[in-house]
Amino acid sequence: MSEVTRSMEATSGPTAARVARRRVAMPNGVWGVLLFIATEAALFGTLFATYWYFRFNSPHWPPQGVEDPKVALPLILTGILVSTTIPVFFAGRAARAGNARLAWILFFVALLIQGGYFGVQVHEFLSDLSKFPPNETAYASIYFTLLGAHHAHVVVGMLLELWVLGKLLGGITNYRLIGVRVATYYWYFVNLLAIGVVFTQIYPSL
Amino acid sequence: MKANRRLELTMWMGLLGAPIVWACQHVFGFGVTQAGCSIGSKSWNVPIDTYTAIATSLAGALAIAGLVASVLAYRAVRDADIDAEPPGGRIYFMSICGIVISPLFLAIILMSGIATLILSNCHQG
Repeated sequence: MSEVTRSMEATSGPTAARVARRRVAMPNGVWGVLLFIATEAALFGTLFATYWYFRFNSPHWPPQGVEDPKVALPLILTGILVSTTIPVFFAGRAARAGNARLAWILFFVALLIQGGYFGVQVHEFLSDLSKFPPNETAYASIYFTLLGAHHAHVVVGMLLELWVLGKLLGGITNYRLIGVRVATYYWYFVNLLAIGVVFTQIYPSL
Repeated sequence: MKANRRLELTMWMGLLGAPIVWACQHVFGFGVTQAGCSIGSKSWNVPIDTYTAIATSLAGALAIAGLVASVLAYRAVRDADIDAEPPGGRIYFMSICGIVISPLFLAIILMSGIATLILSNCHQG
């Protein structure tokens, strides 16, 4: 009988951590999230391209009657969101080391910060909607589509983290470790997107 | 070992073939439309419909080739399953992804090309 633990048999923290350390090929779950991220990147690529296409075809950007976007608050909020990369990164490391408790705490901290970020962003989004509705100009249309799409991705990331938090309560297994990896990779992508989105959003004021 | 590498290559061609071809068709179509409809280049008389028909046919054929590559990769590892050791498990999973996405991209390629051919050029709506 082989003494090497198979990934399917890794149903406890230490064995799952041992399997993860020994793994040389990426599991299919990680390939799956990378493919998903590729499709999301294509979606945001088209949104950014649309924004700049409109920009280069408009003499006034934003159009007359629409005030320039704020700079400080979106930058601060994005900075806060991007800072959650740190607890998410260390949560992933803790999970790989077989420490479910520390991973849970770090994911929870990240989720709290992301929740606060999302709350303020929703308030700002609704406030902007009342000032320049998306059906009035191409600028407003792409502005709200881009921001709305990013906020939707933040929600998906938070739901993914919530799911991971629930699973980690039962300890670490090989499958849960892959789930943690999937959630962390997705958050890195959402945070990277946030940087692109915020600079596109505040560009008219720069 | 060599057979595995060939199989992996077939899998990647099946997975990425149709999306890359669609991206190329999209960018090419945008360029042709800009060249054919912009004020500065209208005098060039770019044959938009001819270029679109050629690009759509070529892209459609390549997307079908991508689908065939995915089916071939899947058939080679069909006895494996999603949790099998790599490369078998990976090829199994990725070839299924290729089989799912290639027809979708083929549909996008055809709809985009046919719409350009049916609708009148250089007009909105």
